[in-house]
Amino acid sequence: MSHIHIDIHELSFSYEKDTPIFDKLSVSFHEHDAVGLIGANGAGKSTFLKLLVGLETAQSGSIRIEEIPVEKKTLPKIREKIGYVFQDSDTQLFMTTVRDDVAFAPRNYSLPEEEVNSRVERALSLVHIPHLADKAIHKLSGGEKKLVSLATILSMTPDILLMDEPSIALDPRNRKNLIHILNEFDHLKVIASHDLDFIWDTCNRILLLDHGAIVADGPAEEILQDEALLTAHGLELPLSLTGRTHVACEESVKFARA
Amino acid sequence: MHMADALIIPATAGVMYAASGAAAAYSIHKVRQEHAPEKIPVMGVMGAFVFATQMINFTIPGTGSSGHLCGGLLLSAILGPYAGFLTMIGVLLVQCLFFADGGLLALGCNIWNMAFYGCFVGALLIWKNIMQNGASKKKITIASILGCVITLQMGAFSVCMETYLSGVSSLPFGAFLAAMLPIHLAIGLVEGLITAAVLCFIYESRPELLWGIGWNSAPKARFSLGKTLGILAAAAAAIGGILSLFASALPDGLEWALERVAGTAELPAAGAAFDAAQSIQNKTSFLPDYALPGSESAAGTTVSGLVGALITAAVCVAVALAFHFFRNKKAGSGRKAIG
Amino acid sequence: MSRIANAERSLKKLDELARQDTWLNRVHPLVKLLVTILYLVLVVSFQPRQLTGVLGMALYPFLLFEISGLSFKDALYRLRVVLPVVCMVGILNPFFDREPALSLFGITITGGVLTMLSLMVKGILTVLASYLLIASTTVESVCSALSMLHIPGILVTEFLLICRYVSVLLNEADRMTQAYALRAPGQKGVAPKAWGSMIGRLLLRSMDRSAELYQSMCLRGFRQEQPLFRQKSFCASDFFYLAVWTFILICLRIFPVLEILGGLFL
Repeated sequence: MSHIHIDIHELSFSYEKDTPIFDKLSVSFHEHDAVGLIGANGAGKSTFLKLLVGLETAQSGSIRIEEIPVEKKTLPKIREKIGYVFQDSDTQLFMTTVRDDVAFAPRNYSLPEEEVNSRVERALSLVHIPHLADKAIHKLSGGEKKLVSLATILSMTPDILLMDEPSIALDPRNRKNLIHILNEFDHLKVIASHDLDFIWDTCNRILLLDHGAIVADGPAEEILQDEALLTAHGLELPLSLTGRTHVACEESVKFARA
Repeated sequence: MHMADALIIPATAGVMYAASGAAAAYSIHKVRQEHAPEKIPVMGVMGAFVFATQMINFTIPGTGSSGHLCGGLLLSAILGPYAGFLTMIGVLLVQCLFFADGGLLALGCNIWNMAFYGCFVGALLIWKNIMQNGASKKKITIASILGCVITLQMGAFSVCMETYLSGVSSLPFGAFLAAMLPIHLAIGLVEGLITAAVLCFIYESRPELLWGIGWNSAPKARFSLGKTLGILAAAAAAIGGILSLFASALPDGLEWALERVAGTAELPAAGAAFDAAQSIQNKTSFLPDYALPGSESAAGTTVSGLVGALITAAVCVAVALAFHFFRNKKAGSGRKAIG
Repeated sequence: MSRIANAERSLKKLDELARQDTWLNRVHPLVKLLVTILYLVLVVSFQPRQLTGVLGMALYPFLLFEISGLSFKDALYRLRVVLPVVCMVGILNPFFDREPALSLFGITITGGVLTMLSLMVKGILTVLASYLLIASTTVESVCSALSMLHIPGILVTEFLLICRYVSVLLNEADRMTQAYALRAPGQKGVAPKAWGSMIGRLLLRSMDRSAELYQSMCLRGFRQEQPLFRQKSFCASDFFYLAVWTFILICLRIFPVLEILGGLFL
């Protein structure tokens, strides 16, 4: 068994006093886990990810990343180990060119310029877009922006990768491309999404959240095929597992005619 | 209200850069004091926001025409006057560089005319004093309209002043003012109404975003109306002083303009100030009135000059045509080689 | 085309030009900025009647346009903002200043006409010079030049972010006005009823976006006062460019070059 990379112990968090988001939540992730964090809208997926990188602070309980507790004074160290890709690429990418944006984090950690450059090259080739290096951000397509966002995180060579709704606004080809790249990333990754097909293609372990509680935690093959469990918590079987795509289409045609 | 470079002379540009620079330095000092690094992305995004909203046309009821937003007061009512002022500098720089809206040299003037008045007078003086005992929609409307109208009038007055002191227009100062102020009264009114509408919406949906509300209940109001007025008057006097110093130091433009109006080229300048001006003049005399000894007009345009211009233009056009000819030929042969 | 789409298009166009790989684009941004400022100062320092002196300054934009291959037509398009204002200020000069200044082939030209013409020429030249600067310099180069001039980091970062998010916000504003126009046919702009909620909503969204942006910057090690760019170093050709233009421009300002030239032919 590989060693534990993220350890969460009795974590409680709320935005407002009387409505807790998480109540004494405990879970741990290992080095090669590919965790799919699933749940309906408002289940607490994004908040969970933000707690891990210290963008939100828990009221009680503890989070340890590679044995380091997440606290205000350890944040710079934590954030070197853990990368977070935002849902909106336009938020993630704030410099004007791809190269400057990917180099932003390495420069902030005061690496020498040669090291910064080699990290930029490596990060861009990891996501197969070295040709975009000198392009202006505002000229990228949605899919390219997502890949650049990922590269800006990979340039920090993180041990852990967190992604919030990575598949939103991607066309089929970009989506397939992203799945391929994520599967190449051999470290711990946590992907929050309600796109269950995407999760099915990228994750081996599933964490099902509902109203801030973990209602299921297990191998992807088990949970993603458990239709009763998924529907009970506001989700549906991944389309690729239903074989009902046609039926759904016919239903909607009927609906449109009526 | 954006001034072009052609409307000013270096002395005006320098003075206004100095004035705006001082206000910017003070604002940066204030923003740094707040220790709020999260304000930097807010300033960036809000600057882009102001720029984008300036592009939206607003129908003005009953006129068929449309108005736009300028944004100084709006920004300051959200970010506070200091961060608002710095944001407006960024917006004006973007407009100047990318859209030729106002010149690079005139940026100091434009920052002063549009950002300084809007943020410091509009927000620090008018908005804050009206809001100090808490806000209401009525108060927001009054503060917005009052703030926009007054600051735009001040801005328009400054535009006239700067153009006039630069001596590029033969228009008498009074006539210039008579043309500028009424137009900007209307513009200010519309801008005030738009600002009021937006701020009222914010007040209803997320009032905590508004700056300077109910500060009187806080331990101590740091600026009284009188004190702020005093500071503004001192600033105005200082700038007026520096301007007139430069005016007496640099004989071109300014003096020429004054000569037209007053019939005299001499400005009253006394003692130390005059000496200082003299030394500045000596230092800046690398730009003498150019003229060859014995040419027809010492400081103006000569016939030989115009003829020279014509010849140069002809040569330039010929060179350009030749250049294009050879370039096209080269490109053509290149294409042939590829094909 | 709407103002918004227009602004988007011209931003895009300028960005494309600035990212080309031409010799003018490769000149150090600080050098280009300094030469441009020197040029602007010298042009506006001419006295109102020195029309020929101002005309001589046309050499700088003329040469740069020729050598850089930038389109003169695109630059002229920018004049539409500036010229009307400049003309409005200058157009009355001939009426107020009727003193004859010189006589050319039997026609008397008054001081007012001279000052009006030189004002217009100044207006055109200054706009062209700024265009040459920005059409050959990317946003990040402008920022690095500004920080080399010791402009505080707050302002430089803010300027960079404005440039980055202008296109994003223009896009949002465009979608909003389109959605509005589709539901309000026949209206020329946005009616007063919707002023507050429309701009207000855009404002709230921008505030939320900037909050998230700050988080994203923090996660990647952002601190308040740090340089965002490695500063580019100068090379010999940069010094050469600076020296040559400084020399030429100051010569054009001090010596009546055109008059000497014309004197040879008269």
